[in-house]
Amino acid sequence: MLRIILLELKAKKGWSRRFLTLLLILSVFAIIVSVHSVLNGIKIDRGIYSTNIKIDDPKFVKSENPDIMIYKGRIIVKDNLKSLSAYDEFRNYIRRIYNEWLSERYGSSAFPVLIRVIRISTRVEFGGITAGKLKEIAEIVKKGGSISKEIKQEKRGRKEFYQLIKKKERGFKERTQAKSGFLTPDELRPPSLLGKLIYAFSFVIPMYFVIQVYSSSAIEDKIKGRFELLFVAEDEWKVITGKMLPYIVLSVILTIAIMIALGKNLLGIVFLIPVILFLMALSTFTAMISRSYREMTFLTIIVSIFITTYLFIPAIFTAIPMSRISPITLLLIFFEGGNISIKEYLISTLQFYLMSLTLIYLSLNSLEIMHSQANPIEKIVEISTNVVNRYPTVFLASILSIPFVFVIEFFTLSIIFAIKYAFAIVILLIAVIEEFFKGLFIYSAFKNGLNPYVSVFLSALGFLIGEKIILFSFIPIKFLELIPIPLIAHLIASLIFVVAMRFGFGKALLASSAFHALYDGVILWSLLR
Amino acid sequence: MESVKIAVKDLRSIRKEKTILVIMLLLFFVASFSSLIIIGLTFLYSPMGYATAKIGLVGNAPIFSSLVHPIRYNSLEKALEDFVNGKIDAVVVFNENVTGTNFITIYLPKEDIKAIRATLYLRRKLMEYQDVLRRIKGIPTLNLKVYEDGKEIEVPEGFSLRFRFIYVMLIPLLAVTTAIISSAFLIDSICEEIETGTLDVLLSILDLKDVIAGKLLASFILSVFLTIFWMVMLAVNGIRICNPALAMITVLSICFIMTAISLAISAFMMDREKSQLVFSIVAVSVIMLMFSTPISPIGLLVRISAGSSFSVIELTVYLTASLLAILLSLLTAEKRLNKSIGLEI
Repeated sequence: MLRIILLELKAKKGWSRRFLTLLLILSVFAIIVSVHSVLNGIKIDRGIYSTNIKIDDPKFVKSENPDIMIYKGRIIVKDNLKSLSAYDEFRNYIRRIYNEWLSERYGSSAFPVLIRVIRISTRVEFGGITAGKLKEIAEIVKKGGSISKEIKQEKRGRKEFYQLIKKKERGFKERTQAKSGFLTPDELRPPSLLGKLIYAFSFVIPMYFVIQVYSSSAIEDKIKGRFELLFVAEDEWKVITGKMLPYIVLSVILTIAIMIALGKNLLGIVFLIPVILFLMALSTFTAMISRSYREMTFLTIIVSIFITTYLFIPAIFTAIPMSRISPITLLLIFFEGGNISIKEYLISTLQFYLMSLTLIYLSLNSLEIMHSQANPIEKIVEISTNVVNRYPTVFLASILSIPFVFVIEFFTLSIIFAIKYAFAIVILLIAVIEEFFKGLFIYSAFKNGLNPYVSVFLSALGFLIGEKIILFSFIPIKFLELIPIPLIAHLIASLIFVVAMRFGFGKALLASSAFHALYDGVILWSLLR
Repeated sequence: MESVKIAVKDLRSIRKEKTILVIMLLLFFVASFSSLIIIGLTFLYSPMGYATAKIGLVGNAPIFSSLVHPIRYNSLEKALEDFVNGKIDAVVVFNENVTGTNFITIYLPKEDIKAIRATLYLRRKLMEYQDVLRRIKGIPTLNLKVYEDGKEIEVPEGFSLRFRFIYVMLIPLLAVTTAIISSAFLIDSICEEIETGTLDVLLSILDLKDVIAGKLLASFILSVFLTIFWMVMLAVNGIRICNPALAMITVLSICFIMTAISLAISAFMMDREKSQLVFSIVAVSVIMLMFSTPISPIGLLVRISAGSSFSVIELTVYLTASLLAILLSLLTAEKRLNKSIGLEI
């Protein structure tokens, strides 16, 4: 395997020193520009609003037909989003001016309310407050102090505050509040969801760059027929893993570098390693099934979208237990000093390890057809036919497909918010996705001469078990008694598939999905009623 | 005419490979992901969203209590226990001091969604409280009155977020995504011809300039198509773009700048892997710059689509500059490719 690694590194030596210097210069430039931009903030909102008088805020320009009119001490707005938004921002501007004036004229006595914020995790396990949580509270109380302690702190705080006011008088715009930890009510701002997402994203960005280089290199090896030569000399799995390894190491190094730059605990990398592995395995697989560079580019884009949704959307909703399915949620909690149990780590990362192994296994089984001109879906059917050739594999394949199903389903869920009344579409899509995977294995097994009815049972069971393992990690165990109903539904849908199979894969999929969607719809309707 | 044929050939290939569907899905994703956030924001910042936060108070604060009507607790432990159990949304700790400064400790949930509601509610109430204390001290308070159609109305705090999100984030993001896609497409289609040797075949019947112009034309048509796609998508979701035609021209200028860069890069690298890598690094810098400088085509796009005032001169300058960039890039690419391909033969 070492030989393959060396070969891959050597291939990159073909990148002349000049090219590497160029890359370095460009990267340094990009980093400088990015840091500069982040520090300076967005400037594209200059002049988006208008008033009838000139004010000292770059967002506003003077106009004949203004969004807000200031007339005889009154502010007049129009009934549209832009005008009302303009007023909201104008109000902030006026408050700023007013505060500056107050602090100049009255000094510290003009700010009778100063706030210190302490944030506590309020996530409660099922069954009420736990002993661990009580202990945590006790500690907070000890640290934050009882009321008498509060008063002592107030005195210290007051001293800090007077220093602050002095500084304020020197220049109000100096953001000294952040240092003293006290805020005026105007400065009490809700947490920024977007900011958090961007922050989390900064750990993942280098991975996307590495993936890009890796996938290019992999598909080039495939198209130019280098893989065949390597397979003569080395075991197939050694070739594939040897090729991936340098890129994995590079991603880890880059991610750690970002953590160092942001001053984060380097242990955080344990949440990202499974993600890196998964992205690598996924790129290998897409390289195997795509026909051209262009197809590769776009397949990579689409799968990156799926993964990004799966990783990042849960991180917004940390209040929901299910959000811990994403390693990024755990990473953010970890960086904020929260506790993460081994069980939580395993649940969220095990699926990524499993998916990586599955994808590498599938890539190894796709070597015969990697040059075929069939479209990617046809290729997936072919690969599945290669792999699913015994009854146990039908069962196993169904279980292993669950994480993939989840990833795609998460994406469809985000669509709900884009179209009005999209529930119907989402239910249908989810049904099609689940039936596609189930049907795929039954179809493959059938093509390999296995009894379709046995496969129906095995795949429905495997699917159900896989699905519930993930779900029951998050919801209480008492719903277990409800299992027989979904099992029967899965069975019927698959039976419909088998019966319709003689008309072709597509039509069979349509029929079984229609039933599945109907079932889901009825369940949802009865739950919501 | 020859270049039109090349463009048709390239566009056919993306239709055949169904990649166009993937691209549309990508834009759709950007939009739906953003709508998710927009809906969240609208909900959180609506008066309904934060009217009901329950506050616990530890300490003695009569004026504050008359404004907030908190649940009183004798000990911080008890208050925090209820807080963690979700019975109250925030805990406020302080003893009121009418003449001096009040140092208030607030316990808020670490979970963002929960925290936003409680924070917005407390912010509003504490500002009222601050005003009451100021009035007692004889300090003038700020009392803004806003009227619409002769009636006094109330505009919730943070109302502008939704507007900002649509026009300052979402639309620029869609424009940039369009530009990146059409540039990546251009790089792929040029490098593929070079690497697989089909460029030589093409050159035996066509002029190099025509081939490159054809590729540019294909990427131009792609950008127009994608821009129309997302503009319609926004319209379906009730987001209005003022001056769609001018907005389209601005988006296209952004696309031209990016494709000019990508064309030059692919002509110099002549290798897909290297070109894509160099392009993505350069694209990061260019986009970052476009967002953080006041004079930028993205800023113009924001103003045009939001219906704010803009100057036609600015629009003309960007369009001319981007067209010149394309022309310059075309000439450089031709010179460079002619030289290296000539060498190969």
